[in-house]
Amino acid sequence: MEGIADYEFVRSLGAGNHGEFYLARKPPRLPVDAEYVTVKVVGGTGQDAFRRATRELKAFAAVRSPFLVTLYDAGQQGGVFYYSMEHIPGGSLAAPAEPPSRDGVVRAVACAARAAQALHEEGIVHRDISPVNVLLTDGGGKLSDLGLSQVLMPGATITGMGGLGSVEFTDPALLQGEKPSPGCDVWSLGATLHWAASGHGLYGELPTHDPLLTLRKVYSTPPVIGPELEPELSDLVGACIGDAAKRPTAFGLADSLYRLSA
Amino acid sequence: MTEQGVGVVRPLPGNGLIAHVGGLLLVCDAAGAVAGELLDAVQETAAGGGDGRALARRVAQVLARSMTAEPITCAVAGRAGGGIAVLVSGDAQVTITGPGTDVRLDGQDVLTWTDRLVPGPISGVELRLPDAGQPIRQARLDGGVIPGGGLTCDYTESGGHVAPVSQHSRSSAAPVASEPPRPTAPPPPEPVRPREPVEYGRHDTGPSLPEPDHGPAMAGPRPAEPPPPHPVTPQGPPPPDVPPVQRREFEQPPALVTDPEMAALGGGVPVPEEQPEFESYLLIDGQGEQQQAGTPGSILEPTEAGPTPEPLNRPMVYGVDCKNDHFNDPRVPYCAVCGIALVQRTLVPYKGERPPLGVLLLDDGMTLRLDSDYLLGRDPERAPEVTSGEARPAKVTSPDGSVSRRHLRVRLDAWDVNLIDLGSVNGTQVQPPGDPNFYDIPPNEPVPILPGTTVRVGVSRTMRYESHRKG
Repeated sequence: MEGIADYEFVRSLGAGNHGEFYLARKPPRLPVDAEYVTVKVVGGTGQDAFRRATRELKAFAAVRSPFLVTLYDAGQQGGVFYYSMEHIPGGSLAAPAEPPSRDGVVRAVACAARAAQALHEEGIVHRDISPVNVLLTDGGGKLSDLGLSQVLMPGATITGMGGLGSVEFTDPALLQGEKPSPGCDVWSLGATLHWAASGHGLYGELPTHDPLLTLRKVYSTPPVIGPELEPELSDLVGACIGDAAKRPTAFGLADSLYRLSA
Repeated sequence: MTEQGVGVVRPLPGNGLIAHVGGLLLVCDAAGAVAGELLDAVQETAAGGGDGRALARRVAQVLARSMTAEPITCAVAGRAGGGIAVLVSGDAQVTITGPGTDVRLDGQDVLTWTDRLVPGPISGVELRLPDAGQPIRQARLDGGVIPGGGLTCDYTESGGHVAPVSQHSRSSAAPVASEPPRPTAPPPPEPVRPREPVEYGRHDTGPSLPEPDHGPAMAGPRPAEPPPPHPVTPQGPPPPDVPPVQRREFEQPPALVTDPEMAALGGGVPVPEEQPEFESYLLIDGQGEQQQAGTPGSILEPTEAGPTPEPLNRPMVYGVDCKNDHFNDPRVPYCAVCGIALVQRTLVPYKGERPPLGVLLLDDGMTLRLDSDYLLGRDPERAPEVTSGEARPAKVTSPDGSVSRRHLRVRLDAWDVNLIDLGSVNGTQVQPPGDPNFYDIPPNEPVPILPGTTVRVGVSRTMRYESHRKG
């Protein structure tokens, strides 16, 4: 893809849950001080889905938090939906510009938890926290990219529009049809922390070439915390993916992580 | 003038490899490890309608992949908007000239490579290897891959002089004939592979708009062009009366058309006016709901940013509670949530909200929560079941077109999941759990399925019903 609307793409930044990210030059009409922006192209959607998604993003954009990526605009061209946001050159936990240190990982997830907390206070559940969406900054991290699969296709917990990467970071309760709740985001934060700290997922190797098998494995296998994780992080991940009633809040998680990163 | 034109390309003698495809230019070391990949980059960029920027990006990827100790010597250029995009690496050099513009780039000045987007107007560009000679005035390269040490492209000179001449005339072969290192048989013009969609058929449609291959770009005038000799055999052999193509160590098919349209469009870039209009809504704080184009800003008016539309009320069904208060299908012996035995005799069914009955997992990763009916198909949004609100749309397509517009309804009846094939063309098949066979289901008749059932929708799409509620 060369661009969308008046965005001129420089290169692809990789696939997200339901679309692809591109590095793009900032068009003059955007009143922000930046040379580059990140554009996510979601793909073809109906007008209703476009409306819902834009509304959802508007709500996301209205949440004030230094730990949330700033959204710039949302739009569509020829039926293809996109939105643009602040470009973070440090990359994500999934694809960092430079591999983060252990403390860097802990701080980034702590920041993402603070961002999730800000969303939760506004009654918004992110629904798609994964290493792809935790971006790395000098001070820690920022949370990006609200999960829009629900919005783009009501009833779908995951749309088939992108890679399956985030399935293993999704609260199984959500996969089994439960409604999204703040606890689901905490589950995802725990899974993200586990992945970034241990280098592997809670379900081990997934047959990602076969979506049905992948989903089936995630669906039928209980998550297991890697034994190599340091005990404090292991306990924290365990609490995040444990019984929904006893999970920490996003705020509580951020707090614990800050203490561990000192 | 040839603002978007290809200009006149002249080869410089030398021992490298030079290519010109639809306005995209390449000079590289013929013996280099990645000469083939670089040529592919040019061909593919041209075939995809890409401009100079797209070419430079692609070439950068090739170079990045093959980071050897010795830098790879190559240079590429191509029009980008009113200007030009160039990339230069190794011992190659690029000179860009224009009114008030004189840019020289040398690959040796940097450690990796240099790329540059020089805004217009541009009058010419020259790509050189170290051993390149002087241009020969009569020599031209209107398209193709030949040996040479460099090339110049003069954008002020119209490419139209030669272009209208059919590719079967001598003129397109002329530049090659004048090439010193290979004074032998000039590569004959390839059979035109006119509009073949897969291979190179698109390198005459400059703009990278998602147009069909028979789009308006083809409808332009084609002066003095005879019908192509091999109109529909893309892999057809060259005409027997022309000598075989002289190929060097690379296996690139020089299937390059010298075509007036290409001359007119090949170097073109997508310009905004050609693209469909876009709508944009600013999300930046304090900017209001300003927009770029389209309808008035009504889109955001229902500002209560409601979460996703959810079914307001879950249907009420008869069920029983287990000891831990999980609501269950009264027919099952164990609680679907905690697995505890349901001692049926002591439980009195009551009407309660039905929990989700599981999910449908599609083979592309889409996961549908079974708390509502669905209508699956290629074009579900307009189905009456969806517009009436009875079912949610779930778009399922397949490359072979075997999924009908309205293909399958998933209907939830009390605690059961039923499939109703809506008289689809290719039908629906189910594979019950533990059974190796697929069975056609009759059209327009509800068929209950159990968790673990695999469903084939049409010919090539499958999905699976998963639930922790083992039926």
